[in-house]
Amino acid sequence: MGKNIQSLFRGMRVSDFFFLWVLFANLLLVAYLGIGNYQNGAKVATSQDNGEEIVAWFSSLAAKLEANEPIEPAACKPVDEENKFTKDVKVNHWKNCVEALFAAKGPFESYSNLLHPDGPAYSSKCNKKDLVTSGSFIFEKLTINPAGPPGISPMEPGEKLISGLNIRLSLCDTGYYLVKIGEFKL
Amino acid sequence: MSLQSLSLGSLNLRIRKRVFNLFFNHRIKKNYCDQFEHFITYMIVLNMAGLVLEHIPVIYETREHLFHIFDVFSLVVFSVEYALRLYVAPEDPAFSSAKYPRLAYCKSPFALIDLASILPFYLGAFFDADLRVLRALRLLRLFKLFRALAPAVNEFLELNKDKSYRYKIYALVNETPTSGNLHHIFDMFIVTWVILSVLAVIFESVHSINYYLHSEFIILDGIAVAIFSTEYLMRIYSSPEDPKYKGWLLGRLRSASRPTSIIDLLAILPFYLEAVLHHLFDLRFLRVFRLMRLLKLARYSGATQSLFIVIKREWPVMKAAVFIMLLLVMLAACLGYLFEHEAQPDKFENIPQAIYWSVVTLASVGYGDISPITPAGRAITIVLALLGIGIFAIPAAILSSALSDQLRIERESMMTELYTMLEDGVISADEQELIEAEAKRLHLSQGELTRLLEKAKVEMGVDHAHEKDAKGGKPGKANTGEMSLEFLSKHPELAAEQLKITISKLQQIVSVSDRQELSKFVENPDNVTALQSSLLKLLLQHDGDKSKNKG
Repeated sequence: MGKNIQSLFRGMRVSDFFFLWVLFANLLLVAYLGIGNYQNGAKVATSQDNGEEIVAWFSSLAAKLEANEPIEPAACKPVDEENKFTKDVKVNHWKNCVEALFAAKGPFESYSNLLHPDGPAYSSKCNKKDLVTSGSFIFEKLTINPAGPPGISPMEPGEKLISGLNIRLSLCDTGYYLVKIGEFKL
Repeated sequence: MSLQSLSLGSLNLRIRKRVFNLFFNHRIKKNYCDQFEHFITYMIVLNMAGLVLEHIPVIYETREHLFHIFDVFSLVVFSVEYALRLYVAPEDPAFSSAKYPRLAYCKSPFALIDLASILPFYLGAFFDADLRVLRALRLLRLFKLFRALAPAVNEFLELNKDKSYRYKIYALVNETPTSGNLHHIFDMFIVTWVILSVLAVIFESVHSINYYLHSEFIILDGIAVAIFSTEYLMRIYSSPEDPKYKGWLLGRLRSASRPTSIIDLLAILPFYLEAVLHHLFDLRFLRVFRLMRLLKLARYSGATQSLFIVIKREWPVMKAAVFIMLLLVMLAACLGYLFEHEAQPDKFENIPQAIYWSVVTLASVGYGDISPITPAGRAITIVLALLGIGIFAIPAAILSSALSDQLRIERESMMTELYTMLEDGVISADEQELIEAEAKRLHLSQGELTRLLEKAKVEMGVDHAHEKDAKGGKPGKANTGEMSLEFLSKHPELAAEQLKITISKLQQIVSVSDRQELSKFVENPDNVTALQSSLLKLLLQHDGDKSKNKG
């Protein structure tokens, strides 16, 4: 076997060596690009885990409200459907809530955009034209449609936080596809 | 007592020989040797897949017991394999000449690998061992694959020892007379990776799977691209070895523009383009193009090649059928637009929309989203639907009849090959292998192959010739070219002739051999029996006398 293996490389020409170099260089390139892809994949997986934490936090809101426990940040406290037009009741808006969540000392302070550290941690749309939206969390409002699939629209900054509001959390991945993480109800 | 032990010993010998012949003897064709080796290979591959899957928590945690059962099963299979190999070692020509064949087997590299892949688990039962170490040791099972790979590599290097490095690569990636078994292993490897990567692309689109296995899919894709790009480079680099693609640049360019090469390129291109250009263009659609890898399998299917030949051959007729179809579609669309536009301006808004309606109607699909409501429109629809059945059936009928024609042509060419092979009245082992390979390509069953062989023999008069020879007192030959003992027992004069020929052959062998080496070999009583020794000595002596006389 050893002798035979030696005979494999005997009488090699310059072109053969060049071919081997090309082969090796290609493997290096694939490894380099593959490692880059894998690192991005790992970041997406970490962001997914973070997203699950966010969904769990929002899902626990209803229980806290029922138990009359204080909600921190207060900007995320939803109001009841029947009180939303009452003058003395302060209605929170989505912009304030999400900013408070990701702000310093907020529960998700450490959750940043892992794919684009300079990009926003959350955004309203996964936008191919806005490269830095890749890696950000996307919150979408779900409007229940009894006749078919729910209607989906971006969570506008001025959206009022009303109890029972259905929200879907997704992640904008490397290819600008939405990776659905979970849904929750305020 | 001694009689009983003697019979037990002979029974043991018989069983050992039978087991060896059944599962390990490569020289016997119709045994279970290949099946047994394939089974072991699949078990090794499954073990490796299991090892990878165990590191994916979402798969492993809920199915831990299944993994454990499979592990125990694998251990039993590999242990039985090791025990059987050890048991039949005295029958194995590789070890039978050793003083202690079983010990010789135990010391062989493959046996050591086999042992290393099972022993740690038995030791683990008695000693406290880190389970992670035991799991890692399962990787040793991968080395068991060398049992299949090493002989193929040796055979390949032996067959190509005088060839250039580029030719060796050509022989590895293409079927050539010197490709041997290594080429088949290479093909199998590529096919396996094609299937794996296509499955990965399909499952990647399932959100619930991709959510948990995203990183694993990335690794799989990276490995697949590394393999396919290496294969692509090997094919392009070695293509000038093909007489059709001579020339270091033009030949390679011509080879690269072949449909199969383009498919190979499309299978890897999305990876590079997406990685390099994703900031500049929206290349998400390229991900789906990875499914083009499935087309790589076309290279390995004779049926696909037959289909391509058929389409190429029948293209003029197909073109005529397609032309009539297009004519009808356009005519029906124009009439549909003419009659229905006023009644349903939203549905028959323009002629392209009417074309959509006419194609759906002609092809008998009939989605129903656009349907005529005017009497004239409905009348056209009736005619169109009836015509559609016939018109759309024409290309299908052309293709199916041409395909069966192609199969007939291929079978006829196989028959011609059979006639050529039977010209000498004998089908050698090599010819038999060629026939079997061709029959496999044409998807012929063993029964059909035997029938074709019989037909060819009858038409060539081979069987009759044998009968005639026997009647006329001429020596009858079996398929192998040897005279049957039964035939010789009935014809003593022929038996004497045969003996004379055999003795002449022996004399020839002795005269061209090294006499000293032969004498040394004959002197050793372990090598030959007493009769063989006397005969050989006589031949050597006769040869020696002849040389002296000449001198």
